Amino acid sequence: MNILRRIVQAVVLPKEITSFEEGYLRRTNRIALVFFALHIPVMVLLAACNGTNPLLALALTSAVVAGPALAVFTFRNPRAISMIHGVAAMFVGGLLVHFGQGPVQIEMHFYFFALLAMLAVFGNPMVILVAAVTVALHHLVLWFALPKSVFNYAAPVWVVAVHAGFVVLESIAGCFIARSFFDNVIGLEKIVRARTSELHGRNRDMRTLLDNVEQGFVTIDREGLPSAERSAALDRWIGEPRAGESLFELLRRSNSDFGELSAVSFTQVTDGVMPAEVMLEQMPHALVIKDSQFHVAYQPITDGDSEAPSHFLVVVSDVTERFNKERAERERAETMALCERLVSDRNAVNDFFDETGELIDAVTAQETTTQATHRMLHTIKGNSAIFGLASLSETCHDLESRIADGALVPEDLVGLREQWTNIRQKAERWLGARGRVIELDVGQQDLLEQAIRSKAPWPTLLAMVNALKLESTDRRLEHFGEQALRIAGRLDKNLDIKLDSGCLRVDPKRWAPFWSAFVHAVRNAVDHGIESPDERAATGKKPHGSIELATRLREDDFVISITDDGRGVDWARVKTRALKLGLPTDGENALRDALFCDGVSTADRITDLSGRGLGMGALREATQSLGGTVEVTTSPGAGTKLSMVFPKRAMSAEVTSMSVRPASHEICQSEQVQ
Amino acid sequence: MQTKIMVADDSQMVRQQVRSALAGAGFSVIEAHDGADALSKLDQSGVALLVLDVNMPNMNGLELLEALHKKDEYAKLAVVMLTTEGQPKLMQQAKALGAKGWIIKPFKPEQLVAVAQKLTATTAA
Repeated sequence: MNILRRIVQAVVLPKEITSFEEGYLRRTNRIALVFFALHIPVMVLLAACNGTNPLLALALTSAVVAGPALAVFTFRNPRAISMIHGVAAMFVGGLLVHFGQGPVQIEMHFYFFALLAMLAVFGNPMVILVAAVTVALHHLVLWFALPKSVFNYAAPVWVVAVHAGFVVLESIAGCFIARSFFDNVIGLEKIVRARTSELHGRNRDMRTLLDNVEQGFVTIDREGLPSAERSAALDRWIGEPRAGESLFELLRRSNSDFGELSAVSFTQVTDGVMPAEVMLEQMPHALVIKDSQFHVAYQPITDGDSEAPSHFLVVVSDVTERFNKERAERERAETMALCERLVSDRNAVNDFFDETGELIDAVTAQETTTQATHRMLHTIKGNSAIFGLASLSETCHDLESRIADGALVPEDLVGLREQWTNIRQKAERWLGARGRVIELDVGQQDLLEQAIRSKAPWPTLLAMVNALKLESTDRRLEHFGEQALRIAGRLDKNLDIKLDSGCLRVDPKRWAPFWSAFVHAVRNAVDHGIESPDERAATGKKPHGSIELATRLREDDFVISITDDGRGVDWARVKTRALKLGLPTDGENALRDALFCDGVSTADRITDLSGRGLGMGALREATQSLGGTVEVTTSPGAGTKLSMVFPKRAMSAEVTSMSVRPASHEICQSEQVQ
Repeated sequence: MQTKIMVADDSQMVRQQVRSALAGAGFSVIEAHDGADALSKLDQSGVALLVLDVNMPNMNGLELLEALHKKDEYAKLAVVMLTTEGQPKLMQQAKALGAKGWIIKPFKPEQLVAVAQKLTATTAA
């Protein structure tokens, strides 16, 4: 049953007649009619030559041709006309056999097979089937009624069966060819329509996707011209391209710098001189449009075997949320660090904001030399890091890099000013009025009370009270110690910190600039002085490096020192750098002087910590401004001691009173932090 | 014989990074700390590729490029700029003076190696 159904499905065409099929069949039917009409004179001529009644040939052939002629002009269904042609074809074959009676009558039968094959041109198996049935009936009837019309001898029934067998065989083949012709050629329109419909479906799905995806997608050609198909998000973010407008011209409308740089960079991708994949990575990625941040990425698209990309997929992602989130996270962390610092040392935070504010004002006023700007940025960088403001420190580092490259432009400093204003506004919520606070511990309060009870002279009492306004150096040393440990952690170095404040106090206002510069000595000691654990192990040193920070009184001097047990100063390298800068290098003193000159660093590399050769110069300048001098004691492989020596009176205006009552400053013991 | 590449940059750190990347890929690297130094070392050096910074003391990268552009003996020397600068006008200026390409710092070592391999292969051809 299944096979029978499949045979019927193969023979019977689908009901629908497409406009293409209809046009094709109408044309073919007309050609077939002409073809059969041409048989009339042929049959007459044949009958005349063969002596088989040409008038009858004219009448019969005309009658046969009248069938399809009537059908062509009256039938609406072109397939029906084709079937009439199938019947007529067999009658024409029968007439040829009849009027071709004689010695070649059997050979005239070939025409049936030729006509059967020709009928495949209608692309309809039913036409061949109808023709086969017609020829079968024709032979059967005439074999009984008028045998000489079919055979020129007394053909037995098995001969008729042989003829019928060949007709069946050819009909099967003809049906197969006709159906294939219908499916693959006549039905092409249907196939195209189905595929078009499928493509429309895909396009619709793709359009829906492109309209709703929150990412910008577009392909561009090697000229940068965007394709028509792109995601709606892209149009919303950067606008719709005008006719003939490249993506980069479009980007220039939103962000001229980005668009222009992208356009120039893209020429490097397509000119084939540099590796395209490297140049694609070098394309600018961070696009800012108003308050939104976007990331622009490029993917090459290659056609076939060609190595050079023919097109590029451009993917634009809105990263504003992620960017803001990261910034908020960072600001939260920085705020926490600042709060911690505020709790532990409110005065230091106040000093930091005062001093950094002044430095930012000076830097952004742009009234100083480039060298001075560089130094101030260096100081802001160091101080910011101490107070946990990593983002401000990084900004200063970037600005320093731009100065070093000679590429700093005034606009660069606007960002620094905005960043600082933002930090200060936030911090002022916690700082409040930002007045200075004097902390008094129980021991100090006891000492003061005892002095009052013992009726100490008023100058002594006044000195003791004034001394409370001074800042304990142990707080400062503590902060530097913590910072040294943080830096060591980042550099994978092991470090022990020893602090010895000598129970001293200094005037916080007067000393703020010095502490700002002292941070560079701490950074240098950890970054360049202390060796890596492997290097220390190789030279037989204990794995933990050691740094001692101290403030002491030495006879009439006040000494601040930092001592490390690192690799010591490489004087040969100092000499090389000094020579390059044209500095004097003759003698030990000249080299010691060179160590504090801008641009001289023993570092191999510049990091965000140190290496620019600016810190030591700033430290010497800050020391000298307080009337002090810097002493360097160093030994290769054993370490370096840097001592800033000041006259004792530099500590504060009340220094005389302090020396009268040193007990009033006994606020701590030497301690060790690890 | 190793292909010679010169890096001209006033930053020791950058020179070391370039040396480390290119030497690892089999190139011989010559260093110059500014444009004038590069010009003096280029003579008779057989350098195939010059990796050139823009902002340098004494003679900056574009000045050096201009000087090389005027001399026929350096017609086959491939020059690629390696700089923090990203100004389109400077990029176009360098291109007009014969620079093959412009790479903005920071760079990845593999990027520099890919560039060096492509440009030295072209020069050799």
